[in-house]
Amino acid sequence: MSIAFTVGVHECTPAASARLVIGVVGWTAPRCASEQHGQWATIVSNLARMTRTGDRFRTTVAAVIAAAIGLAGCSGSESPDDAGPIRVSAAASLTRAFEQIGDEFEKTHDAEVVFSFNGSNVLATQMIEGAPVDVFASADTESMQTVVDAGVVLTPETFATNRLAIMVQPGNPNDVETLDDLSGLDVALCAAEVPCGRYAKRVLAAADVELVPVSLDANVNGVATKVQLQEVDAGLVYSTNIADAGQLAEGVEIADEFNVVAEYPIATVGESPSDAAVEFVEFVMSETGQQILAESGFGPP
Amino acid sequence: MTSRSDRSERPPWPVAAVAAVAVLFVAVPVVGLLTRTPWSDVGDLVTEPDFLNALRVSALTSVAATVVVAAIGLPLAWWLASTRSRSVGPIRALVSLSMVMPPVVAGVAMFAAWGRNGLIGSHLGPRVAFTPVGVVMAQAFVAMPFFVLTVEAAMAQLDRAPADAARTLGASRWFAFVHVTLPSIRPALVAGAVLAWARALGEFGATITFGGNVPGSTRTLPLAAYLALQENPDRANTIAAVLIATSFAVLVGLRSYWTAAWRGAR
Repeated sequence: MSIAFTVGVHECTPAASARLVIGVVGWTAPRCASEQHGQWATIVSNLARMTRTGDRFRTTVAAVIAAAIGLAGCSGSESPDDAGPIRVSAAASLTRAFEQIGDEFEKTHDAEVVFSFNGSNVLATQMIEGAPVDVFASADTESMQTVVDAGVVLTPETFATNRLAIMVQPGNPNDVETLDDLSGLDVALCAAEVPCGRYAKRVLAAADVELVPVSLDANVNGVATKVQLQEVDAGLVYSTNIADAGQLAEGVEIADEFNVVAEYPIATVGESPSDAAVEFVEFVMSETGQQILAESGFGPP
Repeated sequence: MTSRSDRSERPPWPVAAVAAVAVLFVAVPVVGLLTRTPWSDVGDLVTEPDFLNALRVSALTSVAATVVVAAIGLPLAWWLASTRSRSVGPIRALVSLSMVMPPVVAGVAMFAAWGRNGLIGSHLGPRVAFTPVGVVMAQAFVAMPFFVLTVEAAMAQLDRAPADAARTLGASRWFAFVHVTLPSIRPALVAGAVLAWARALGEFGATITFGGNVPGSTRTLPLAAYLALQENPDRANTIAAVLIATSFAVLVGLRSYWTAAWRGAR
């Protein structure tokens, strides 16, 4: 006798998920031949029998698999989007600011925004390899140039600027005032191959400071994390990272004469970007977007 | 005892076909990478000091990590395989944890234990993080389960009779272990060590977090390849190709040497 059951997998409610779990578990149970009981009564009696006879292993495995399927099915967005979400690849330093911009954009526009935050060069490589992206916001012009050269992006524009700053632990226990003070300390920098590392090198060279870092990170958030974990005494990060860290770290400004101004370009991807993508870029350049960026510590374009 | 050549039970052809798909699944990316490698540049690359430094750091740290893992993992595997304590399950799960941890999280966990403010690290004199020792420890942390679980499985399946016979003849537990048990699980020991070494060699997240990635002291080959990818994908390909070729040679050469010796002796 086979147990036929309908499980509403296409509807994503707790009831449907529960039916899926119970249905799968009950279906995997050894069946008892009882013609007079109805479908759900049979499943329930099978379940009861299974826990008594010790088929708990099979029950647990089936329940876990069914729950995973149910949850996976339900993990997507509840409201179906006709056009699909706008996929934005943005530099790691833009994480907080862009998530806020995304929230504001979704409130005022009928579109969903999905972010991918990573080092700008990683994102650039992904896009050149064909990753489906609608908008690219980079932390430096070099990464943007590589995607322009590859023909993936046409016309970038600068939407914000950023500067480097020294991040230290709350209370500045090592009394760091200038770049020179970093000489004897354990300092974390970005690796020279990534944008924040290139900027750090330039700043240190401009200030004529010889520094042997203990740690070179693949992106600026890694540097910030190490300072906040108090595993290093200081790190060279963007001023926006100082703003992000809040209470967990303090910032020490770098004199203008040594500092670099990092230009952040943004662009839509592809020859015919969707209207939503163009609107998103316009929103970033608009007063609302610029205000959010300024609150996060970015400078004007 | 049947030897491996006694294969009257060949798998049916559909199984072999699916096995071929599995081989392709693993081989095609590797072959693809090798075809993209600009082989004419390999000569320049292998003489570059950055590359040689990374190679040296990788070789020394991965071997050291394997030695650490074998030294403390073997007693653990012996205990796990032979004890009747009910804590075996939880402890085995604990040992396996580093396999399921995202490697960067494993790096943060290393800070929590050995960092400046770590549980143990705060009481140690010299700093462990951001040193080659830290790299070895991070690699050992992620590679440990591969050795322990392999060896424990082999020990659990072992026929106890020869070791018991040795004990009845007057051998101590230690003597029986070293001279009877260990030789009979030599293939598992080698396999476990090779797996652990390969895992340690390829480790990225924990080493870049806890090790520090400084060229010459803590930058390993995987880190060098990843950073090269940021600027120059061709260079990254070349580093990866050299890494693949070296690892492949070691993995193939080592296993066939040891397992052949074992089969020949029996």
